Amino acid sequence: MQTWTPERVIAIAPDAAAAAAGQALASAKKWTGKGQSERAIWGLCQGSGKEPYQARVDLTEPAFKCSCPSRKFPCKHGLGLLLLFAKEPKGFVAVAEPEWVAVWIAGRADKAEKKVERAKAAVDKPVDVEAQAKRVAAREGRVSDAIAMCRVWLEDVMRRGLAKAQTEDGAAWERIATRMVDAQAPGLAGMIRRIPEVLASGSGWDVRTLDLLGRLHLLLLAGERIGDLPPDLAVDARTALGWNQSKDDVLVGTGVDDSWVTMGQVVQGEDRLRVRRTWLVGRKSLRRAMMLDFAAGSQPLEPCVPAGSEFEGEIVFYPGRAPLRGLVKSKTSERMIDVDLGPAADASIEEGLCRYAEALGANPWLTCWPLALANVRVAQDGKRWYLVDSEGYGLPLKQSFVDAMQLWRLISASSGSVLTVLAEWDGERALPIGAFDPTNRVYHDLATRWVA
Amino acid sequence: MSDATPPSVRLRGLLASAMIGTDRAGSGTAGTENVLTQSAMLGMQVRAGWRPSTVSARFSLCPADTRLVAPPAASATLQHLMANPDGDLIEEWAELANARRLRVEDATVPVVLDWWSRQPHRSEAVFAVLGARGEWLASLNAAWRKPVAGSHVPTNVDDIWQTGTTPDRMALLLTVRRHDPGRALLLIQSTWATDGAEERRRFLEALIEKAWMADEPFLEAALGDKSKVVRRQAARVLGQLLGSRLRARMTERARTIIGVESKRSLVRRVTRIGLAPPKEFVKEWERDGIEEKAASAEGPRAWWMQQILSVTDLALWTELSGMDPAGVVAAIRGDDFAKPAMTALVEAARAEKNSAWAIAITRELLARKDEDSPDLEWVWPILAPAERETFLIEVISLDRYKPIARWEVAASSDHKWSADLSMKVLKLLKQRAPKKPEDVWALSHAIARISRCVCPNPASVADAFEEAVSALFTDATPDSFKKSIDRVRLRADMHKEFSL
Repeated sequence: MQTWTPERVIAIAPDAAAAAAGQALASAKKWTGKGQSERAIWGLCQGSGKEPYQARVDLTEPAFKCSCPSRKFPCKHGLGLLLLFAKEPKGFVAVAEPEWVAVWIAGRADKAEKKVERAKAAVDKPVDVEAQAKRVAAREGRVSDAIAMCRVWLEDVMRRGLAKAQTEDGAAWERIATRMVDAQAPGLAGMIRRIPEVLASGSGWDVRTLDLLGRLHLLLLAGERIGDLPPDLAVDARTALGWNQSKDDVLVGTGVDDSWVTMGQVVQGEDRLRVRRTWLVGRKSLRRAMMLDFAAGSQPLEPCVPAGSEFEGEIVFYPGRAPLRGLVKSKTSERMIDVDLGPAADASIEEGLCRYAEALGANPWLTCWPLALANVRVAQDGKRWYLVDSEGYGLPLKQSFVDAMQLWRLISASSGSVLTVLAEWDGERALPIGAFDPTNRVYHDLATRWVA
Repeated sequence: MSDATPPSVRLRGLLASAMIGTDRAGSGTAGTENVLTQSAMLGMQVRAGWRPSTVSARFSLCPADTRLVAPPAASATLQHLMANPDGDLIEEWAELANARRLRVEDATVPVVLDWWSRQPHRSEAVFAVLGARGEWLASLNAAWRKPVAGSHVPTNVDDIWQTGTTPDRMALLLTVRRHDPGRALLLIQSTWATDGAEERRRFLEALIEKAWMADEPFLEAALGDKSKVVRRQAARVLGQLLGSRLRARMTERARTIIGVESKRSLVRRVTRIGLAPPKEFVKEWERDGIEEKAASAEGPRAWWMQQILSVTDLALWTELSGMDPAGVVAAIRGDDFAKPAMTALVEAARAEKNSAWAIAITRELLARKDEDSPDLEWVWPILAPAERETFLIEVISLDRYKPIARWEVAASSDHKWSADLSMKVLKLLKQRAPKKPEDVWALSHAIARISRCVCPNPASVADAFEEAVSALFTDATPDSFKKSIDRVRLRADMHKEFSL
């Protein structure tokens, strides 16, 4: 089992406020009945209710459970308990698990066992090639129906015109998006859901909408003739349409061994589904990698490589023409980051954009690309805000970033001088995710909404 | 359009038919498909070929701050406070940091600055802890520039004074007054002849803070102002200004009101004070702000007397009676006009900030068991810290209170208590807490205020607080009280985090 450090715990927090609240609870005084067993820690925290909350953490995953009513997951109690454990493990007496812990752990062990059994059964059972092929064929049938339906709908939108589309009520877009989800083409649904946002995006909405519809059209074209595409391009098209590849299948592949620098992390989405993107840069391979994690409802986001650290290890990429999404296959050592990225950084905006153009050329459905910009400063020109490189070129910042306190956190961190910034580039606007200053201070969650 | 035309322009060119729809543009199915394909292609070209523009604008560099950053635990607590802002606690955090010459983490400075700039009363301690970085950030953001400017005297004082709006001028006046009281007076005088009555009144009101004798001649002249509101305001300021001619005149008038009679009883001399309010209103009093029409139900004579005694030097009472403050208030007891006289004495003690009088008056007010608990908020700022603590314990240990009043009195002292006082109050809370559930519930406000007063260091005070508050309830402590316990805990943690 890995040793827990406060940084690792903070990386699991659903947002900055929960992390801060957890830190406030990471004090021995807040807890009674702290204990630990081989695989779990637990404790009681007096909340606002009559009974103290029972917080328990399964250290193997980690998994959390707490009796508090919080909808955040993990809640501040779980985080606080684990933080306290990271800081003062000696404060947790090794005793027998109380019933409320034992039952939960046993339940989890049970489930895990069943999962293993199922997996084993699946392995033991000769793969029913025929049934599998049937399932795949059935989905392919549904997806191609969805593509056909989407095609008719898209041409209809074009025939009636964008001016008309703008007057359409939001539910209409959602209806067609839901049908795409039902037909197992979530990639199409995602693009359709962006249409109402773009229609309402103010000045320039018309070109942006036309561009988005063009991209949708390109994806439909690829879907309609997927069999004729070169195999690697077909993979990218299928990914864009929403086909998933199982992690296990990906992990079988050979990865890239390198010294990987975790440059930043962003958690987006609220209630239903939270998505976390963690961006890495390989020092020797100069590769960029993205870890994508999802957590539905009350699930915790799995702890991933701690932001602001650097590790030696192997990352396997999901296949595609410009592989970006990856999984950590193995990790040998972990250390504090050294902010001098050398040639692994984009020395200028120009260089970063070249990398982006190349990737876009390979995978036309690429939606965002990480720019790892060394020595950029923040500047304002008129109403617009930019990241400006040493050559004086500026990348405009996303409005949502500018409107939030995040912009000012970045400016303050820069002291008016230069930083190394990891920003997501969507072809039009940059969203800073993480920043390092020359003294190695790391701001890894710049884009995650700051609750204030 | 030729291929040499930039893709962004060609993409725009497609809008003509895309906007009205390919049906109305008459392009048919093939046309629809063509618009989409062209958009896809051109959109891709635009993205792949996007060129950055040059930006020459550049910020100044943030001046260096030699203070160290607050310890990580303290910085985390500040972030937590910013997520659920509590002004008192943020200020306390700032004071702790300032005392140790520590600063706020760079990336948190704008979050605190933004909160600070939106407060109606902006704490100087919080602004100080933000330091040079706070000022630097404010110079870059219009929303912060003005509140920050309020902390400094600007270079173009006269321009703002002559051309600004009334709120701008008021803000400027208060800033200047804090830094250079004499200059504030000169500003007021520089436009006095042309400013409107309400503006003039507000400017005079600003003088009440830091009023000093250099203001006196101007204020005395303002008693003859053509506007009544201005005259009244001038009289109010002069009434607060010790040594003013207005106070001397009032004190002279009081001589005729305060009568001392001495009787020798069997055992001792008894001195009584008889109050003889004026029988008629004298026209010239008006100039000194005395109102003829009674504001209260008391008769006009009592009202005239109260107004005069409120701005009478307290020393006169001692001079005429030969008694100390406690003797004076005892000697008034029983007089027909004792009540308005006591009200006036409260005002006089406030104006003179005289702690001996404040204590004597309060004791006398509290000795009247028949009445509701008087408001004591005014007493605490007058007393020196040690005196305040002793007196607070004395006052809340009395038996006179209705169930909740004792704790409201305790909470009326908004100061930070010593550990010793905190423990004493909490002990008393355990012993004499109200019993009836509805009374206990009504305590929530007082307990919340007390949670801001008790000393968070050592942590045993926090334990005592939790114990005393939990003991109010037989079962679970309700949320509103729980919040107070959490607040004290958080404060205790904060102090500990800074001493690490």
